[in-house]
Amino acid sequence: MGDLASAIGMAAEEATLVAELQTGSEQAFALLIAQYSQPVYSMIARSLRDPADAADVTQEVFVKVFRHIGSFHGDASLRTWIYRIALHEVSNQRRWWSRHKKQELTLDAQQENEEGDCFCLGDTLASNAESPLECAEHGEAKEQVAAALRTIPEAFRSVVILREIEGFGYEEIAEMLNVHLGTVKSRLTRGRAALREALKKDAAAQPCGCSRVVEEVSR
Amino acid sequence: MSWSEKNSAVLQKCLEVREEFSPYLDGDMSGTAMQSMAAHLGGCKDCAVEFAAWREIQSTLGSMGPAKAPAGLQARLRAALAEERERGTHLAWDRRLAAMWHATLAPFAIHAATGTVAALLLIGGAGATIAWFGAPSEVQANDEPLGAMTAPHYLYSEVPPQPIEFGREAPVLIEAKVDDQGRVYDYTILSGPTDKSVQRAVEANLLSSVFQPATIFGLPVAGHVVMTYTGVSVKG
Repeated sequence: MGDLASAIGMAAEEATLVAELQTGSEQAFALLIAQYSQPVYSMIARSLRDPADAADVTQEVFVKVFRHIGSFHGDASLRTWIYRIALHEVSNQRRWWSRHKKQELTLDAQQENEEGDCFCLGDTLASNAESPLECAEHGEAKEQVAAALRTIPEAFRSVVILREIEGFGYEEIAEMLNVHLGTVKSRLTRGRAALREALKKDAAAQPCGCSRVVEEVSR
Repeated sequence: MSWSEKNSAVLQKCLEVREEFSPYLDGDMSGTAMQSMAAHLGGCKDCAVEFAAWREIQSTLGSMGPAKAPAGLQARLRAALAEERERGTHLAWDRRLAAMWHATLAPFAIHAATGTVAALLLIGGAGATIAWFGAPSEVQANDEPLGAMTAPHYLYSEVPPQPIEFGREAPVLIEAKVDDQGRVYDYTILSGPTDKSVQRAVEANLLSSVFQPATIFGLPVAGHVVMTYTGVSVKG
């Protein structure tokens, strides 16, 4: 009963906020930015191939929220609606990246060969052996996983990020992506499997054997 | 069942179990299925290692936490939205057009309307002025005709006129100057006899004569009048 009352209160509060947003209220948008800019930025930064673009994409998301808030009718929650826009922008940005920015290669960036194996350009140069300290720094489990995450197909990656990092439930992810619940579960299974495979390949490609996650779990 | 068949069945079971790793991680399966999964993992080292890898990845992802937004992101977003608000991009197209009208064309329209009204007033005023002052006005019955001037006009003599007699019969033409009171104050004999007796008779007649004075715009002024004395008798 208490949960229901709380849910009704939150819905009423959100309805008030939405009404304010639809008038273009500066104060309401300041509140929205304070509430959502960090999690939206985080999701975008985890999803993009180049996290340096995350701030620009986040700005584009909030501009679209501002422009289209009039068409928000409360069919989904405000959070779901904002994330839906963010996911769409991420998808657009990744397509753009594939067409343009992929040309700008760096030695540290993850590349993919014809067989689909990931490698760094820096690894192809002479004297690429890392010191134990560098290996420890670069081999941080989180960095490895984050890097591997960027290599898996977009449809799987979005679901993995929303579920594992952002902590959304299946239903809300389905609403955000506008897909069925079964599709979310299926993509999550495929995404986790793809991530596992990416980390295995990463471990095999590391000459210094610093892929800690894979090592730890293979013992 | 042969060894290879048994091995194949185990591998098939492992594949089926691994397909369920994902829902097992989320606890998204029935209690019976979870028990079955736990039993298989307890007896299959390969699947247990693989599941441990999946769980480690999940744990690592969960511990990554949010990617920290750069400092000033919120200010940047507010500035971007302020710019959008200035452009009215959140408004419906009709309200946006109205806003654009008010922001851009309306001030010009006010100026244009003001200019048009001013021009109309100016042209209308000029027309009215021309019509008012340019067109000849109708003469009113009680108006004095513009530039009307009248000459002195003889009214009567205060005494009976004295006959003018001199030696021969001829008209005497006199120019008399009449003041604004209608009295003669000077005269000149233009033609005719100029005898003393004639002059005295003329003066006696003129001094007793009363004239309607000359007028300009209805006001009495000094003027002159030409008079002829005829029927002058001649003595002898």
